[in-house]
Amino acid sequence: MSVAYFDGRTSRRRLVELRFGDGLIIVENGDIVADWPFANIRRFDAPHGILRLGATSAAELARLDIRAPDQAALVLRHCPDIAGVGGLVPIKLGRIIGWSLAAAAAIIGTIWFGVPVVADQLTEIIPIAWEKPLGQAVDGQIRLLFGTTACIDEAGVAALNKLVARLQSTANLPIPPEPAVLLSKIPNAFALPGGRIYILSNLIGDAASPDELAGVLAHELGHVAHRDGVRRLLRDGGTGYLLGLLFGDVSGAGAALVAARTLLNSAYSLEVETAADDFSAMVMTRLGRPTAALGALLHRVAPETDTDITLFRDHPLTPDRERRLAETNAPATGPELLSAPEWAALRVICRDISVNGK
Amino acid sequence: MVAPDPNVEPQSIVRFTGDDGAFRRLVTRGAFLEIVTFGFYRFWLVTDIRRHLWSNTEIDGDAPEYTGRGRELLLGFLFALAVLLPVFLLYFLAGLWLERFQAFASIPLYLVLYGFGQYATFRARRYRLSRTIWRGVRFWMTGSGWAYAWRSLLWGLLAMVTLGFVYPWREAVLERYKMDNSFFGDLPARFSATGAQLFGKVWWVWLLGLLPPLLVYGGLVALVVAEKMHLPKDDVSRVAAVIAMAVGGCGLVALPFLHGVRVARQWHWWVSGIRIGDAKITSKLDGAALIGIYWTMIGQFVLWTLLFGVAIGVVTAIIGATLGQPANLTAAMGSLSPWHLVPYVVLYMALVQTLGVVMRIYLQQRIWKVVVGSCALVNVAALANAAAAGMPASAFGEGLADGLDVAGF
Repeated sequence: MSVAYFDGRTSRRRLVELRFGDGLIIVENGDIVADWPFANIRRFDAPHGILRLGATSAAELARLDIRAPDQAALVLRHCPDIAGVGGLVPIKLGRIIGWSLAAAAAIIGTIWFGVPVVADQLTEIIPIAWEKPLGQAVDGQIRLLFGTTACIDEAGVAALNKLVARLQSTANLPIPPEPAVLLSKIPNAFALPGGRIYILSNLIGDAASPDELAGVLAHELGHVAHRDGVRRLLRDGGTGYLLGLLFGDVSGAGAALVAARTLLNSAYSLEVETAADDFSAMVMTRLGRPTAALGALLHRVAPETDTDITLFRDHPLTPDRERRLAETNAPATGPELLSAPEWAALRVICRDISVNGK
Repeated sequence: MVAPDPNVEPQSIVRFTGDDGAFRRLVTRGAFLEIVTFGFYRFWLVTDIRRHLWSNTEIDGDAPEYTGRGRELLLGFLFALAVLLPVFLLYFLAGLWLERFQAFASIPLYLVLYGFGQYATFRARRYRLSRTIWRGVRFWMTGSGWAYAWRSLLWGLLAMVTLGFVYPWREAVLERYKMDNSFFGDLPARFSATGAQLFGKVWWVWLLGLLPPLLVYGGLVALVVAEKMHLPKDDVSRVAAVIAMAVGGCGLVALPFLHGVRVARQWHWWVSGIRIGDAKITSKLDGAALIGIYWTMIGQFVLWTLLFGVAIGVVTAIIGATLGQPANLTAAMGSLSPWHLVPYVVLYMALVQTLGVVMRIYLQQRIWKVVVGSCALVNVAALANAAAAGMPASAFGEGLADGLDVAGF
């Protein structure tokens, strides 16, 4: 059976014989063309039934293909370091698994413990002025999607501004808030980085008194005061990047990663929302208004019960929030936040459309 | 197809000698290790897959060798992540800056990431090719990843504007750039197939492939219009719309056939275009050769999904039994703890990894086997005396492709 030799310098296929001396001697037409010391010989990938050898002392890609099984076995018996450095060093599976687990633990630990700390620290460092462009980037899209011409009734806007000004006077915000109402059937409100606060019109429709709306606004002012928008951005960015290190392109793991992210975010949101509720209660107490009004509105808008699945929730349960807000509740001692005509104007801030939509 | 002709150039055999069972065991074990290692094993798995495919492909009696290593891919990935971090940050900041002028103005920025992905594709090909050894001589590549990314981006935009019409020409341009920069030792390679040839091979497949979805969609639109116009229930236009949707729906079954034909014809076009020095490859790949592979894969998908569906049913029944008899669904949901999710997560991971194994077997090994088996090398003498040249390229491109989730070829 023939042995094919490739010298690693050209692709010429040379039929050779093998002789055994101090090393493996490769002979072509009676001439010695190479002499590989046995200790230098390494094995390389080849199809089943072929023994492919190279040598650390020969050209890097010089190869010897031996097809006869008995000859291959004989050569192998002479080579002491067939899987040594420079050849196909066997993979140390235990090491890969060990380091992978260590790396995964480090990544998950960093996400769980490190990212919140870093996000908090960075939030402290980032100048408040930088929040504006952050918020504006999202703001433009929101305005385009919702439209901004529906809810700008003059008297209504004046009432809204007055309400926010009253709250702001005791809130000690790092940046002046900019409230606005968007037309929507969904009763909700949210704050963007940079002080922009949006109230969706149906929430005003659902509010029974200025105090209830004030409670929500104060909750959103809490997000502004705590700079939760920036904090969340930093946290989500860091978490997403680090989670991306795991699994890579492993099929289907993407869905598991999204679930993990949702879990992490919701765990974080619970703290943030509770802190904003506390902020709302503090502001309302300073103004001598009832803190439980926010709870009453929540109860009406989102009457959840304890039996819902709590795993992926990003807000605390309404009953818990109601309970917490009720703890600080006291009878009103301060003046009404809005007069009856002002409240009536606010409720029709969206032109031609009754805000409660009912 | 080709009648034996004494004047025809001598052909050398190209064949796949690998064992289906060996590959199945390789990827099954790999899928398991991927889960255990949080995915980090992927670098070693793709290396082992390539080693298996390369070393079991016999070209004129000698098998090539894949000399890449998992460790290189891991380092390339880590290096790419370090580079991508500032890129992602800049991407984010540039997006913010653009959004200030106009809402959604940052969307075209996606093209930058796409360009990066194309750069990675080119560099990944370079890595793979430069780890490919045949007869002691290295394949290798020159050329610029950015020059490639530009071509890909511009032709991609053109393809988008023309609804995919220029796709064949785009494929030809990109493949020509890659192949014209490739070498076997000191022998330059080139790509001789043209976009027009590819278009000629596949245009009718595309048109046929468009028909079923168009029929379904058109029928749907017609029904909606009929509803709006308050046409009677037995109006001829309604009947026609329903028939069109039914025909289109049945036609969807044809899509895997058409896809198989398209892929086979494109492979044939690609392989036949390769020139290395004066050597070339001919292929007798039949248009129908891959259809069986796709249908077997679909069958396996259905089978495994059903099996896992049964397993999920059993798990749910067991959990239900341990919970006793809750008053209603809400109460039942309320009494669930996060631990109840664990068996579902395990089953889900097992299913997607199983499907991943099936995909690797059919889309990689089986297609490789059929395509390789259809090929023959013409004028192998031209390859007999190539001088060694070229250096192994870095795995940075592979890492980048991994970090950006793009598949390169």
